[in-house]
Amino acid sequence: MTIALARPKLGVTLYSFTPYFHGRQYSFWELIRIVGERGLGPGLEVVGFQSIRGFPRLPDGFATQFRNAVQSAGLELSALGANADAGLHPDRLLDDDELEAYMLAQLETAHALGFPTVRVQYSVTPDLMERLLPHAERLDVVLGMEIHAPHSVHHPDMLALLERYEKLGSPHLGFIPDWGSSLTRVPPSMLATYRDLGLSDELLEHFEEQWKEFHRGPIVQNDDDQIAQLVRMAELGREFDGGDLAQNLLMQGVGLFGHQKPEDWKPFLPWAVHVHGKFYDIDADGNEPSIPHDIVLRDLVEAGYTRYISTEWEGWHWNTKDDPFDMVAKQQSLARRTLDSLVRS
Amino acid sequence: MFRDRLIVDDSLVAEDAGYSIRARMPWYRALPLSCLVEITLAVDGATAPAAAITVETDGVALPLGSTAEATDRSWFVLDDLVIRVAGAHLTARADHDVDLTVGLRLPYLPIKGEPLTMREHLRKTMPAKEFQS
Repeated sequence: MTIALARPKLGVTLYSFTPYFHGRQYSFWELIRIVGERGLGPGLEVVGFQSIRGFPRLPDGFATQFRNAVQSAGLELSALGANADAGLHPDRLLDDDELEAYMLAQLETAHALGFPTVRVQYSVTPDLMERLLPHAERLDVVLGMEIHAPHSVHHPDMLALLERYEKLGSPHLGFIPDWGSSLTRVPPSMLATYRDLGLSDELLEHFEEQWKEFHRGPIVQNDDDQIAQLVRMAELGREFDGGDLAQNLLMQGVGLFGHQKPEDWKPFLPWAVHVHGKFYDIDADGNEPSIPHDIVLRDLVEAGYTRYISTEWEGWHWNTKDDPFDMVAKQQSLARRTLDSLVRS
Repeated sequence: MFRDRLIVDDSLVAEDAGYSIRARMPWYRALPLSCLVEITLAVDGATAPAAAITVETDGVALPLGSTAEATDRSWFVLDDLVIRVAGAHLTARADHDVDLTVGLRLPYLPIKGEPLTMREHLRKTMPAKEFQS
């Protein structure tokens, strides 16, 4: 039994409410207010290119308006989601100088808005991360490399970055584990939804069986492995005549539902600077059927992690019935209950 | 993503020099116009030639053929993309069949140096409004 004094803080990313925002049902400002009112914080995470028109440029007065809105809602800023858009041009990737400038603009915006942590993506190499470090120190932000499916802690790029972190030893560098990298099964609601939409049982069974076969390993180690999985899923779609409807299911089976063991985050957790508490379903017992919260939370507590876990509901990709605010509340209730059993203050 | 929202309801407009429809971003974040890899639009079965298409969003209008260079102009998630087709006239009928595919390069998801692309496709029936100048 672990007895610890500290526990992680909870919060949410506005990405969880994408259908409402994209559907123009709630504005950015309304989402912030509602997160506060419904007690879904205190941590607030924002994806810059999702929420802010013109990002990383900010309209005049935006930073002040934003800080005021966050304060009025009783929230705290947790992380800004930056994007490493290396594929900006049709014919080539950005070189390191260009990507450094592209990331720097977003770090400056994070600083202007008051975010302590910035999510960074895998196009940023260890060398580029090292080049960004002095900027992060100057702007007083922490850079967190997101480990997102189909990547995992076993991917050579992440291991190389861990090695670089150990060499540099800076508190401004770390990782952002995304629980979508360590699923134990395909989210049941996804299969049920696509069945209701009319995909054949045959295709769904083969899809699930294929995912399980990927799950038995070996885990994705490089881009060729990922391409092979995407190709296999596309073949399934053609074989069983899935059409447009099957396309998202098949691609998400590779890009969203990773195969790392939930226990395997451990060696990276001393370097965790933020966590994406990704989830899809909450069952009748209040548990997440494909993400064992008892394991991922236990390991965070045992690692002494006290920064934010940002609840990230991504079930909206197919689940249009459940209210995203309710879903977020349910997962946070699961997280609280689990943390209560792990942490004695 | 958000396939049902791809074509804005009742957005078909007959204009002096052609017609236009409006599309919503089939992704969760803004993307530069340089990431627009495909617009395939057919109204009543007649596919618009790429050279006749202009896209317009957030006060910027560009021929489809020159979006590739537009790395500093974005299609924001809350904005419509107006797709304007020149030199094609709608036939007189109560309802028109609109068939649209939008392809986007996801610039943060390169695999072996080649960013992942996604395509969303939708077909909708709607009347045409007349452009009021």
